[in-house]
Amino acid sequence: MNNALRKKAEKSFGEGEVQSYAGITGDFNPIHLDKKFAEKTVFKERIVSGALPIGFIHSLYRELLGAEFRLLKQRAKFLGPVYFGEGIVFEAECKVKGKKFLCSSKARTKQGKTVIEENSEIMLKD
Amino acid sequence: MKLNNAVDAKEFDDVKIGQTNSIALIFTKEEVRKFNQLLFGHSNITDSVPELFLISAATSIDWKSGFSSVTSSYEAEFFLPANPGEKITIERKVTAKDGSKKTIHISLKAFNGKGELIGKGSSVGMLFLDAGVTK
Repeated sequence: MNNALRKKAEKSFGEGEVQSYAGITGDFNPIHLDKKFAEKTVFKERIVSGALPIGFIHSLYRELLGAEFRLLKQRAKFLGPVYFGEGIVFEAECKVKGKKFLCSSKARTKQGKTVIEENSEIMLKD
Repeated sequence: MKLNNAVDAKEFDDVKIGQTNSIALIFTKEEVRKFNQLLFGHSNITDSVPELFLISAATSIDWKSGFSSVTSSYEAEFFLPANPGEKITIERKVTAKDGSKKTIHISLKAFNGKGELIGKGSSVGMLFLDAGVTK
């Protein structure tokens, strides 16, 4: 495989996902759940739990590679907030390197502001 | 996921550079199934704890410890899979803090029940001082 595999998708994250995520992980951070608290922060309103868009990126990698994988390394930067219901455009890319894949992604708002930069080194599961 | 021994810090000044805490976690198969379903859209694989679940747990420690914070970046590296039902210990060390930028830098290591290093990483958390540091 010489060429990079690429995928682009749009997704928004809502109340149900954030509440479910909090219930599963115990992450009841008020910046995601408490409107009054969030109003006092630099974000001015609640923001989506960062793991949700990262999880979506993982699912894009899974679609690109057509298989389950193990995450060997990951680096992620949250450059801006993802707000509830906001459409986010994800662009993901994977390249083969030996027995591993080097994948990278960016998430942008519809206004073009980059909110997440991520890159991963992954290996397919047996 | 059960969290024990949370960091006992109520104000920014309470956090000391070099301060190390360990947190014990157990991820059940049911939690793994639900996590996979929500985050990745499938629930058929529960043989190992998703690495993102470990990252999520590690980066949410600050606010669980009494801080109002959000993760602005992280790096993670994994060496061994983590098994559901197994006690996972995450060691968390404050490596730097910056009052003007309202950030805390954390290094993290995760060990399985045998004491083997399964992963390590670092994160930067931004504190919401304007919203009140303590919960």
